[in-house]
Amino acid sequence: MNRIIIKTSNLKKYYQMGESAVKALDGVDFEAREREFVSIIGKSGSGKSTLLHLIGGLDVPDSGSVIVDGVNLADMDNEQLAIFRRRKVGFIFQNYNLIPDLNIYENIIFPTELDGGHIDDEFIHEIMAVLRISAKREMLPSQLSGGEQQRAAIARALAAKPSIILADEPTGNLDTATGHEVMGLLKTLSKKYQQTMVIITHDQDIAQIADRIVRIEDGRTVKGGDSYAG
Amino acid sequence: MLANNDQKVIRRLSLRSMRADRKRYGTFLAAAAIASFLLFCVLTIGLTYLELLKLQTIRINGADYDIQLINGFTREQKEKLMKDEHVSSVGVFAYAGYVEKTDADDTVHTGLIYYDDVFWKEQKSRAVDKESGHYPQKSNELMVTREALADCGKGELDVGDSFVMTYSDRRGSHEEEFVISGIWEGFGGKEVFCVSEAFYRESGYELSGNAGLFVKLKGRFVTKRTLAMLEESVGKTDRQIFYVNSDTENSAYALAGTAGLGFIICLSAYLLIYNIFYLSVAGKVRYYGLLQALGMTKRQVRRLVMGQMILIGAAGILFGTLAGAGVSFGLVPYVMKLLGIKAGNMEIRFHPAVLFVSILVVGCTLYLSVRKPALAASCITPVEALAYQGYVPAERKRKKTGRGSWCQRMAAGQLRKDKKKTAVVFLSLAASLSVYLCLTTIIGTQGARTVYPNHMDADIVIRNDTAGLEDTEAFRPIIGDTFVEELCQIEGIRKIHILSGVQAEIPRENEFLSVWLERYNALQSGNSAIESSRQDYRAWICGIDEAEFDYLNQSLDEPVDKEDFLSGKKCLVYHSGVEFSEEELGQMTVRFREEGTEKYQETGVAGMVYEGYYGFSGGPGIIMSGEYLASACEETDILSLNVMYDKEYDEETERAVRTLINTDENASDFYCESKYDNMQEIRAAQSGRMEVGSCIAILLLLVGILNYINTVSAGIQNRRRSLAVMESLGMSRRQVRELLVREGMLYAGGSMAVTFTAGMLVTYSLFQSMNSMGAPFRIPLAYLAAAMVLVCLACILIPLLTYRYMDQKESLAERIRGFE
Repeated sequence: MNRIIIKTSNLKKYYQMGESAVKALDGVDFEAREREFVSIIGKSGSGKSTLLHLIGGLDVPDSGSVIVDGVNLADMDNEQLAIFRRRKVGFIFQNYNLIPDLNIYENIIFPTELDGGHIDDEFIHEIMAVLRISAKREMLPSQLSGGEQQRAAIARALAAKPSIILADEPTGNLDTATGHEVMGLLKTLSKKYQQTMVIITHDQDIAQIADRIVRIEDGRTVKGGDSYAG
Repeated sequence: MLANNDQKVIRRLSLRSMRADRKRYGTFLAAAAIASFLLFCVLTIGLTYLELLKLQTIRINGADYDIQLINGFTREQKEKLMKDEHVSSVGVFAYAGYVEKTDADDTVHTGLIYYDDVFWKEQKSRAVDKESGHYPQKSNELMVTREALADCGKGELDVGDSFVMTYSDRRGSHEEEFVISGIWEGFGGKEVFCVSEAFYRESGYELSGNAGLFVKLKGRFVTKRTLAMLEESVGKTDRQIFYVNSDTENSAYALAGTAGLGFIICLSAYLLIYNIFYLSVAGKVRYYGLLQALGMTKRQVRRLVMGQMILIGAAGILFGTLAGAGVSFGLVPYVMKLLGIKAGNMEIRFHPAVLFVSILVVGCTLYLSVRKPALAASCITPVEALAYQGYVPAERKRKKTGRGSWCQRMAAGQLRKDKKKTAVVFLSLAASLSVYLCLTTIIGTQGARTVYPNHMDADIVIRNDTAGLEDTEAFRPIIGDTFVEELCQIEGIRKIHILSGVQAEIPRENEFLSVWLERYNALQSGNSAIESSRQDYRAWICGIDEAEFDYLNQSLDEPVDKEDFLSGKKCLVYHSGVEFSEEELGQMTVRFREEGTEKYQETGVAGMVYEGYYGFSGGPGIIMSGEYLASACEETDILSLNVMYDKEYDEETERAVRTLINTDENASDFYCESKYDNMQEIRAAQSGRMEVGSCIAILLLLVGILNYINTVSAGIQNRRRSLAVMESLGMSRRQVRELLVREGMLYAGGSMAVTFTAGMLVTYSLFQSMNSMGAPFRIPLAYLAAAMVLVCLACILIPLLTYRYMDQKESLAERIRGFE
């Protein structure tokens, strides 16, 4: 069995909404192993995105710990967290979040450039070809369709060869056919590049593509909610 | 479709949305108020500046006139000028003699001048601060200055007192008792006694000989063509000089400069409002789309937006103008008083035109800055509006992958993204910096451009006044070696050039002298001519040091052989109005003998100098090597000292030199020309103009920086999404700051590049148009560096502070979530 690469323990995160506190996460324990493809499902406001943000170091928990690849994120300062994100994690957002001023190629290589690292053009060409966006190389994001933009966002997440891919509703803005196509690509690529994939979705069908499904409700993982798909 | 009454619902929506979004609409109000405030302040203070500039010119000239016609005039010429459509008034001045001595002083420099009513009451009045008594009516009455009375050794006298003086007029020398009918204080020639028309008529002088006209033109701006036509219409003789004030001569350029400055000021205000309103309305496009989705028509959206802006604009103009009036009329004079800045006659006045221009510019700008985004908001479909995420250049489909580091590429790309917005910020900053550069250069070079330089640009020239007396036997050697030694010991004195002199006689038969006398007399009228029957002509042979020779020699068309000059073989002559051709100069020699000796010496005339410094007793000034004179003559005296200070306008050194002179037993026989005094006179004439100019420069710089602040801070707020995404992809805060600093530096660098090219060109042109003394173009580097540092700091700190504020307010996840 592969080693655990992501582990959260008793993770809590509260938000203040007016006079009342909203428990976005209320003691979540979650694990993901190397090269595992995990789907997290739950209703809107269940805390899925918050969990993903905490795992990716975009936010800090009120209590509990997030250990990624043996390192507790709480021990990192902002600078170290930024380096962690650019080297270890690839993010895929529902709204694609491509940088509008950069062309597709520049968007894809951006995290690698930030790290001052060597750009493996052969690898970039390969993933662009696999994702069928080679012809869109010099286009701006606004000129691409939703599916194309999401494929570009996937390419960007893969470009720095991170060990973990975190995808937040990657098919949320896509039609069913394109959504299934994108999920298929993600699964193929995660296997090809041996990456751990954590995907958030509220679509049961999409979630079925994953190796394992984790259900989250009211800020807690549902005990016995884990199921193995695939 | 039937028309429906939608006024009520639009008004209600308009007021409620303004009430609900107080912060945003408060920013609009503040923008309109700040722009109105700055525009009102800058224009009000600017007009005061122009008024003071005019006052300064009047004070420096000593009267309010544009043209002088000197060396006499005819009745016809005066009438022709008076009838000319461009002429407002024509005043008369006429030489009426000079004071020879009083019982208290025998080296008096005071002249006797007659002024007519037009000159005294209309043209001179603005240069007079205080006048007691009245202009002379009787022939024994004088209008005096305190300075002239002091020159005559009668400083203690007042209006109504009388004193006896010996004066000279065309009829000869007279001793009479005069009554002081009035005393005036102010600007212009002070060593003058003004005499009555009755006195002038008895003096024997004629208006066609030693008199002139002061001509004041209508309006402030006149073309060179008009001036040329006026000069031609007068039909002046060779002897007459038609002199136009440099300010008047360059008034057309000044008009263009003033209009340009006014345009830049209005442009800056325009940019400030346009920027804030454009960004703010564009930022609400999604809201307007929602309104359309709920059933509002495009026309109703436009009316809603325009209605809100008109309301806010009107309130902003009102508040801004009131605040501007308060600052202009209250705070500025108060602060200047607190800081101990002498404002002189400075009085900031209300100009209705300023109010009109402020309202017009702010109003038009509001309309223009709201119209376009309002139109855009109403023209796009509700779906598009709801998906609106700020400005995206629609025409761009492809973008080549850039070169260089990501930071450099992204910073440059950010500036290219919205070229219009970038141009607005560049222009605004560059306009402000350029005006600042222009004003500080003009202010900084005030002394060099307007203070008439002493000989060799000396800080003080100390002359032995008795050397200038007509009677050469009255000369007393008051500047001795001891005096020079004591002068040398004063701290702050860098160098002293000594002008020595030998009293000599030039034989009448000397060809140079006879030609000089003939030509000199032809230029003079009446008894100013030098008697030609005298056998020998007494004159000073001046001796200069090697450095002074080098200084003179470099100004000659044909430089003189230095060795010939130093050995006494060659000499230079002072022009004194008499011209010699190059051939004549090369052929003539001056024969002279030192007074009291028999031996004649001869020296060849090699060149002519035009410096009045060498004019003593009105004769042909001969200039030789001082060292040669000391060796060849038995007795040389010191005529004058040219003193240079370590530091220009150094008050301490000036005070020490003055003390040495004033405590000398022959104090009244020294005559000083001080650069420091001239500067003080100019400063008094400026009457707070420089301070007012500085206020304008600072206000404009503020406009530019405010423009930058609102554009950049709004721009960064609008880029929260991009920045958050980049951070989520691994961009560290340090890298974000690096990117923002790079962008800021590009703004600063770009605006500086415009300032150093276009701004410098404008500054240079303006400087030259105001540079009557031909001073070298010099930029006040310290002030410029301070402004550049300020602009750089603003350009770097504003984005960093905005980012810091944004970062502290929300976490990265919140910023990302806020957009999803």
